Amino acid sequence: MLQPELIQLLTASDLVDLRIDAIPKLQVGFRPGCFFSSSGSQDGEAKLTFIPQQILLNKDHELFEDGDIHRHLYLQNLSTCPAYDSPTARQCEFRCYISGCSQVFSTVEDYEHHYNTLHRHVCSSCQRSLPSARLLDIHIQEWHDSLFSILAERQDMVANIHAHKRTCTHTHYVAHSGLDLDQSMHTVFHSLSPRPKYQCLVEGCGSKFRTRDQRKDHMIKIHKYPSDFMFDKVKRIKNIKIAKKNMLQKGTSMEVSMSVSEPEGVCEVLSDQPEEEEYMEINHSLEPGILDPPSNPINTVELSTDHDTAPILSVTIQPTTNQQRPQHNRERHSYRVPRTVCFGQGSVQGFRGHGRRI
Amino acid sequence: MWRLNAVRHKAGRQGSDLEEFKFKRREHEKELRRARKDSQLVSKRLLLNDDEEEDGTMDTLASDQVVELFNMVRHGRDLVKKEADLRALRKALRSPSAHLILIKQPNSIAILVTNLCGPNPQCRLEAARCLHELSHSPHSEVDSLRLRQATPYLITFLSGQSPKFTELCLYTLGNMCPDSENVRDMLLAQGIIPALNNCIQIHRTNLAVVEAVGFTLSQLISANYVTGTIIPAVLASGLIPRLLSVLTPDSQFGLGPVIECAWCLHYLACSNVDNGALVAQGTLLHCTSLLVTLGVAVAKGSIEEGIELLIWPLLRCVGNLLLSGPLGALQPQLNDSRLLAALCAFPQAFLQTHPALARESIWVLNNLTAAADSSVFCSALFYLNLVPALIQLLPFSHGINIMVLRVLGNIAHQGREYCLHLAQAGLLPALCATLKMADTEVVTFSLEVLGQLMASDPQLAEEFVRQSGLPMLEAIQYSNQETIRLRATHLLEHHLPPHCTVDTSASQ
Repeated sequence: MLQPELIQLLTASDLVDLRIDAIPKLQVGFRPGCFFSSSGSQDGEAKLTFIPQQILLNKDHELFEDGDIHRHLYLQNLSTCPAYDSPTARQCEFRCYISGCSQVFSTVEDYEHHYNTLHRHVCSSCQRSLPSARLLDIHIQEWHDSLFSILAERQDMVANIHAHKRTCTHTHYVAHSGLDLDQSMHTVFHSLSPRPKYQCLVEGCGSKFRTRDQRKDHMIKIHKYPSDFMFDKVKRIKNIKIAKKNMLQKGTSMEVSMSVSEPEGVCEVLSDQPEEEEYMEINHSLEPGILDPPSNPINTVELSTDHDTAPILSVTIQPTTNQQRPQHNRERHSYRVPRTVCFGQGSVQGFRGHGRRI
Repeated sequence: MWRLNAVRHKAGRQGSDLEEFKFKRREHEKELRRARKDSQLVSKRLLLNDDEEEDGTMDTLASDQVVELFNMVRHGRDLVKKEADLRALRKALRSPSAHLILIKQPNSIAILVTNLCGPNPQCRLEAARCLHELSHSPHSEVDSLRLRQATPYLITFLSGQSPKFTELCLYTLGNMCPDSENVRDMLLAQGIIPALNNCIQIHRTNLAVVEAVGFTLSQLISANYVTGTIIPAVLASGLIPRLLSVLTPDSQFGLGPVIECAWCLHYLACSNVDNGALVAQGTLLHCTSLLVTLGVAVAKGSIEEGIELLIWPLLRCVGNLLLSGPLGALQPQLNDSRLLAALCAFPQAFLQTHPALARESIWVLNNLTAAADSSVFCSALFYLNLVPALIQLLPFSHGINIMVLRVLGNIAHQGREYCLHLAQAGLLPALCATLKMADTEVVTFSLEVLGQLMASDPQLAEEFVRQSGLPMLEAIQYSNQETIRLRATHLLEHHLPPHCTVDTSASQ
C-alpha cells in the first residue's frame, strides 16, 4: 500500500539529517513581467481567484464527521467489528461538459471514447459527428458547400442530359463540352470552376470521381468496402409534408436531386414528391424488417441506411440519450431519372435563369 | 479499562450472528450521524466489573425485589450484609428498568451517597458502582440533576489513592458532564479541574486511571455550549503538560490513554481559545513527534487496530495549531521533515479504510503550505519527492482531490521554480484528467492550478498543449457551469501562447 520511497523516508536511520531547515529552499517568486491575475485580469475582472489559505476547523465542522462517528462508535464499544463497513474512497466520476450532453462516466477512457465519438469533428451545419477531420472536411464540402453542390448538380445534369438525348428527338444546343445548354448558360458553365470531384474516402488513396456512384464503385471494387457501407448520407424524409417545405439539401446520392431554392423555371430538376414517396414505400416493402422511423427532431434529419453490421460513417448527436440508432432503409442505388426533368420540349428548358442561387 | 480488541458490549450483541451485529452497527452509525447533525452527539461509558466479564444473562429482578433490596441497604446495620445487598442491588441496576424503580424510592441517592462515604471500603465500592450504573442510564429521568448530590464526593475522591475506586468515580463524572450546562458549571465550581490534575499526577503510572481522566476531561470540554470558563481553566491548570507526557511514543502506555488525551488536545485546539498557550506548553512538538512515530509504524506495516483513533485527533490538533501564529515562529516545533512524509503516508495507508482520515491528513498539509512563509515546507516536499504521492491521490473523491488541489495550488503560488518542479513531477497530465471530472469544484480548482502554472512560464503552457489539454479547455467552454466556463475562457485567452492554434486534427 505504501510506496517504497515513502517507507524509506520514514524508516531512514538517524544518521540522515532530517531537519527541515537543512533542506535547500527553492527560490520564491515569479519572473518580472509574468502576469498572473490573482486579483484581477486584463479585463478588470477577477477570473482566477484561488489564494492559499490556512483553514481552521472547529469541532462541529462537517469535515470532522467521519472521525467523530468513529470515535463515538469506539466509546460505545461498537467499533470492534471484524468487517468494518466504513465509507471507502471512491474514484471521481467524469462528466461530459458539452452543453446538452450531461453523461457521466466512471473512467477516463469511457469519457474520452464518448467525446471522441460524439463531439469531435462535428459539422456545425447539420450537427453530425464524423470520425475524423478529413471525413468532416469531405462531408462539409460535399453537403454544405453550395458551390460544390451546384457543380455536382451540373454533373448530374450532364448524365441526365446524355441519357435524355438518346431518346429525345429535338435538337439540342450542344456545346463542345457535350452539354445541352442555351447560350447564356453555356457561358456560365464555362465561367464556373472545373468539375467537382468526389474524393475517395479511404485516406491516402487520393482518387476523385465525378459522381458519388463512381466513388462508391471504386471503394467497393478497389478498397473492398461492403456494398452496404454508409457511403453517403441519404436524406430520408419522415414527414413528407415537412420535407416539401424544407428541401434545402441535396437528396439521395443518386439521381433524385433537388433544387436549392424555390422552383422557378419550368424545367428545373425537381424531385417528384409522389415519386419520392413511392420510392420510399417501395423501399419499405423491400425491407420487411425495417423498423418504423422514430420521431426525430427535425434538425437531425436522419441518415437512412443503417445496417447492424455496416460501420456507421456519421452519427447524429441525440442529446442526453444513449439509445440505439433506429434502423432505416437501406441505401438506394437506383439510376432513375426524375420524371420532371424535361429538355427540349416546349419553352426554354434547362437551366435558364433561376433556380440555382448560390 | 477498555481493551480495543476484545470488548463485548452486553446490550449490543444478543447472539453471535455477525450479519445481525453489522446491521445493528450500521443503524447505530446512522443514529450517531443524525445526532451529530443535531449537535447531540454524546457518548457515555460503562465499566464492566470483574465479576461481569462473562457474558452471562442479566437477571432482571421484579420491581418489588429491587425495592426490597434497597430497603435492606437503607436499614441494614450489618456491614457485611450491607455489602452483599449493595452488590446485589448493583447487579440489579445492570437492567435499566431497575433504575426507574430505584429513583422513585425516597432518598435513594442520598442513601447511596452515604454508603459512598461510609467506613466500609467494599460498601463504598459497591455504592460507587450503583451510582455509575445510574449515570449511564438510558432514561432521561435519571439525569445528572438527580445525581448531583454525589458530585462533590466523587470529585473529592479523585484525589484518593485507590485506583479502582477512582476509576469508577471518574467515569461516573464523565458520564454526567454532557448532560447540561448547569451540571458542568456545577462541576467546575466544585473544583473538578484541579481534582483531575491531581488525579492524573497521583495515578500517572496507572493506565486505567489515566485513560479515565482523559475520558472525563474530554467529556467536559467537548460538550456543546461549553462556557467560556471551562477551557481557560483547563489551560491554566497545568493539565496540559500532564496530558502531553502521556503522548510519549512509549508503547507501555497502550493506546487507550493516549487516545483519550489526544482527543482532549483536539477539543482544546479547535476551540481556539488560546492556542498560543497550547503551543507554548509544547503541544505542537509533542503531537508532531507522535505523528512521526505513527508514520514510521505505518511505514513498517505495523498498523495496530485502532491506531486511526489516535491519528485522527493528532492530525486535527496539529492542523488547527498551525494557525496559532506565523509559521516561521512555529517552525522549531515542526523541524522534523519526516512529518511531511508521515502526512503523505497516512492517506496512502488509510485511503480505502478511512478516506476521511486521508482527507484530514492533506488538510494539515494545506495549512503547512498555505501560510506566508511556507516556502520551506513547499521546498521540502520537492526535496523529499513527496509530490508524486500527492498527485496520485487526485482520482479520489470524498473531498480528497479538492484538498490535494489546494495543496498543489499553494505550492504553485510560491513561484516559478515551484511551478516548474510541479510540472516535472507530472502534474500537467494529471490535471488533464481532473479537468474531465464530474465534480465542478474539482474542475474549478484544476483550472486555477493550471492557470497558475501556465502563467508562471510559457514552457508549461506549451507542455499543456502537447499533452492534448486544449480540447478539454474548449469542451469546458460549452459547459453550463459558469464558474468553469469563465475560467476556461480566461485561460484560453490569456495564458496560452499566441502562436498556439486550435488544431483538433493533430490530437486524435
